[in-house]
Amino acid sequence: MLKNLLLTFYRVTVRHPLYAGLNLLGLSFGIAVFMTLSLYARFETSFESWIPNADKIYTLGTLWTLPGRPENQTEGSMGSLFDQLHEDYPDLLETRVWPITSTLHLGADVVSEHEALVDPDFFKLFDLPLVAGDKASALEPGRIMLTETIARKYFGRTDVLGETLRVSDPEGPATYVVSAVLRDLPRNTDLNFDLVRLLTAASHKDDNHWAHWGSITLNTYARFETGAEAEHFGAGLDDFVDRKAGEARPGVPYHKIGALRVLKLRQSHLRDQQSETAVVTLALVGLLSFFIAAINFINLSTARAGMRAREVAVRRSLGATRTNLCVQFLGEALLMTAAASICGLSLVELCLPLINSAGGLHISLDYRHQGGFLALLIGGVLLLGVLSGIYPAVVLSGFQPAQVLASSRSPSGGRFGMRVREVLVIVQFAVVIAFFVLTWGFERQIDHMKTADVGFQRFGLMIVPAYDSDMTPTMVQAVKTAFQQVPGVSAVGIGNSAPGDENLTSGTNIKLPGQAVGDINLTYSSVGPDFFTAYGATLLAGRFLDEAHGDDSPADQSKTANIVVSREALRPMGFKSPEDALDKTLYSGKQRLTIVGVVETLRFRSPKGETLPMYYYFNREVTNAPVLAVRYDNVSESEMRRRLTDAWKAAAPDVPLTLVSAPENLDKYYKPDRNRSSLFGAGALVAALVGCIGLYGMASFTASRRMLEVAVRKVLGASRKALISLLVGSFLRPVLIANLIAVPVAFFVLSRWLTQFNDHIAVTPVPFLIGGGAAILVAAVTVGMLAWNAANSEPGRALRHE
Amino acid sequence: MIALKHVSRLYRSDDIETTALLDVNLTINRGEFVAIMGPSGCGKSTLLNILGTIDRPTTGAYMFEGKDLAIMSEAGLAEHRANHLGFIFQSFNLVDDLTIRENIELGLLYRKTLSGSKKTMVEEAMDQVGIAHRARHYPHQLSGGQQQRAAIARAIVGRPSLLLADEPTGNLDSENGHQVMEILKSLNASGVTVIMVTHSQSQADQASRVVNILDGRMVLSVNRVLA
Repeated sequence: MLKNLLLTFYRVTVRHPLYAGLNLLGLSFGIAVFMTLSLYARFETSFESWIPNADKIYTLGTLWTLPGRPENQTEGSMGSLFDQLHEDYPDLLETRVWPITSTLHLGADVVSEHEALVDPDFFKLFDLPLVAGDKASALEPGRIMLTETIARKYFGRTDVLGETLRVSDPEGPATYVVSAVLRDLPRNTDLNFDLVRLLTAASHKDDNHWAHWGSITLNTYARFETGAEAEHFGAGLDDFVDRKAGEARPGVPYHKIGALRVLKLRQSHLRDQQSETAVVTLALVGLLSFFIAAINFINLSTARAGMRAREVAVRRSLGATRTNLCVQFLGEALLMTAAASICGLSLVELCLPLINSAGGLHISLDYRHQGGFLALLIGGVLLLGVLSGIYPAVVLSGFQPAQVLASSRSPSGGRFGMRVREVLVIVQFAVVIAFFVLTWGFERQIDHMKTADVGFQRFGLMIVPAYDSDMTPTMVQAVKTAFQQVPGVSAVGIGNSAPGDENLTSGTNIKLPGQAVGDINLTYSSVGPDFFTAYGATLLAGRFLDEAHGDDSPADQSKTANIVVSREALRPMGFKSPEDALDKTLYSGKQRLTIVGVVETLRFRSPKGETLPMYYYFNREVTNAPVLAVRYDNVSESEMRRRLTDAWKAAAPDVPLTLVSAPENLDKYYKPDRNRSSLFGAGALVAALVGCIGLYGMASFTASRRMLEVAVRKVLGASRKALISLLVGSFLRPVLIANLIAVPVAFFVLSRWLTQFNDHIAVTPVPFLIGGGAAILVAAVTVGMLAWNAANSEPGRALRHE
Repeated sequence: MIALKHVSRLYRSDDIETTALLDVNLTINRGEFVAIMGPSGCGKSTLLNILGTIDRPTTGAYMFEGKDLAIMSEAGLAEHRANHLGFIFQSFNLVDDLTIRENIELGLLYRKTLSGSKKTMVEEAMDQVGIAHRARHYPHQLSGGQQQRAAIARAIVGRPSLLLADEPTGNLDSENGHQVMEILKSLNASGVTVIMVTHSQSQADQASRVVNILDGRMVLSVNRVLA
């Protein structure tokens, strides 16, 4: 029986290459998309799962509830939270991980590296694998751990225990002895460090926010053996915060604005709703692509069923039972799916490098480590293949031999079968059209973000962070002066906010005259001379801050300081227009502030997050986290990079330079969406291709089944045109219905997706018209070609054949 | 051996009821060669299908070797067909995608036990109808007569006790028709019961009994003494 099954499968495949090819191609594409997106979803959901006992590690994250702002759950916490917790919970197993940049010398070059300062119990939470060294002594003072990559980079080998390395970080420059070599961290982690050493009091001696409630400096992790234990601990945190931090303002306990939450480490990667939705969406696209391919398979199989009806009748007359035939057809489905799985897997192998580079991803087919998962995937694919073979098998095996043999026409599964096929074509095309509209919308929005008005001139602008621990205020000024002298530079500004730089965010509750308590939260930034000029900010009213006005930066703190506010800040303060805000006075604590200018909002941050209402105050020397903005013109970007690098090296030779263009630095906000959109687009494209393959297959079978009808109509005098429009028309109906379904669904999904951006494109009819039109065109051309052939055939042949 | 008792067959569609067979009583003994005749649409093929158990009587009993097939399960009927019956069709009904040999092997595929080796049985059947030289060809590469001989080989490869032929020469020229009739007669001579539907009086004359059907009723059953 097995031999006959294999033989029949082989013969049907070889002798009907079009049918087999369409089926195989469609299924392979569907499987390839399904597998790729499953691998992607698995990658995104596997973050930190590689850490032993990852489920027992929790992050103590701060939840901000600031007046007039949406709740903001962060993963970070204050520097001294660890010590304060220790006072109240002496048995708590915890560690801090403080990610910092450190400076190292590699030959003549000054290089920045990612370092983490941690507590002695680090390995009791993060049991990271070592290549060399001993965990017990790895974190002793004066010692440092390296990853394999760093060991190779600085020593050319990994057996470097006992070697010394000079590192400059917030603790100042010092030489450390290498105590251990860490295995390189895998891709699926948000931990980002290559050097690890003990966090000591000396590391934060200059940080005056270390024990300031309301600051976020690092991550504090705790280990709990059970979820219940973590929950119990979390329940007491509001009291703990109030005990330690007191009141945020009179009558408001501190936890009401800055609460601590116990968060699962494993969930941190997809904590934000949008990322999670994106991953789920892509996983769904994968499933849908496979679903479309399965529909093809069902449609082609049942459409062909009619052609095999006589074979079924003969086999039954020879004594085959219905079960025999079900096994036969299910077996054929299984073989086809198995063949398609192999093709699909090969396609994935071939296309992964392409997909990875297009999507900025690191997906891999790793048979050794993901064997189980891959087996599960392929098993799932085979199962689905068999499930999609059930309907055709039931239809085929159910043919009544006497009826089939008596009739000159072959059965097609009856009206029900035709309806099923039509519904499946509708579903398939609806999905394809919706995919098209969504891809279009995603791409347009991403393009829009790249060119949208962000309140400043993003091109011809270089961003140079100058907050390295080795950077003194004098050096910052020296660099600024050096930059100003570079030919082509038109302005150099300093501020502690910059596009794509979230190193420092400070907020304060301000109070308008007459108010008892300040409940308007504004973010503020200190800016030096030329800040607004360098960014090319748009002044809406009043003036920019400058050195010429002595009041802009009074030496005496008790005097009124002048500020510039962003347009976004007008509404919460109740000003109707920019002019309305001028010369108004407000209070930040005891400090009096007078508004002397209003600028268009500078969108320095993610287009998805809220736009922060801001005020800017003048500080001739921005000392806290300064970032330089260099405006240049008439010089190419690469040439400007070269000139600025030279100027930096002359002014601050021992400090590593970070030099990025503004568009490049902003790109990190668009990148995840762009990557996901590329993946989505690729998935959608393949799904559309599979849909077209299915349509072609369906149309060719329908055309061949209607040969007799066409012949009779011709005998009765039908013209070629009439015949073609008859055949094409019957196929356009499901595509038109698919449009009716796809349009509202795609409109709803796209509109919902766009709401997450504070500046988004409008949903226009264009993509719907193009998507729907293209579907109709593809259907018309495909079916039209077949109809042309059918209409041109000689009626005599069809009639004689029947 | 075979007995139809008060067999009727009705076909119902939405609002039309068609009587294909009405109260047919027929007994056929082992080794008989029965020709069923009658005009188009009289119920000949329905009768043959019921005898071949690919259709069931609406009422009445169908006794085969003492068992009532009219009430047997589908699976039981499938096994019955595999073990006892051979079918020959007017339009051959060979499976296009299989070679002649593979088509003939189909005749053994669904049998639980075989009386000899499969290879030998297939070769004997091919020799018996003279088609062995075409074993590796596909049906569309053969002439009508050759296709029908292959179809006969498929029907007899399992050594059935009852051979059912539905106008086996209907699609053949007289020369090939003659050959097919000779094969059927020699099979009958070797002990196989043959029931054949035919329009041709000359072929019916070669049977041992002729059954005439008109409008679903059996109107005449004539035993012939063959010369």
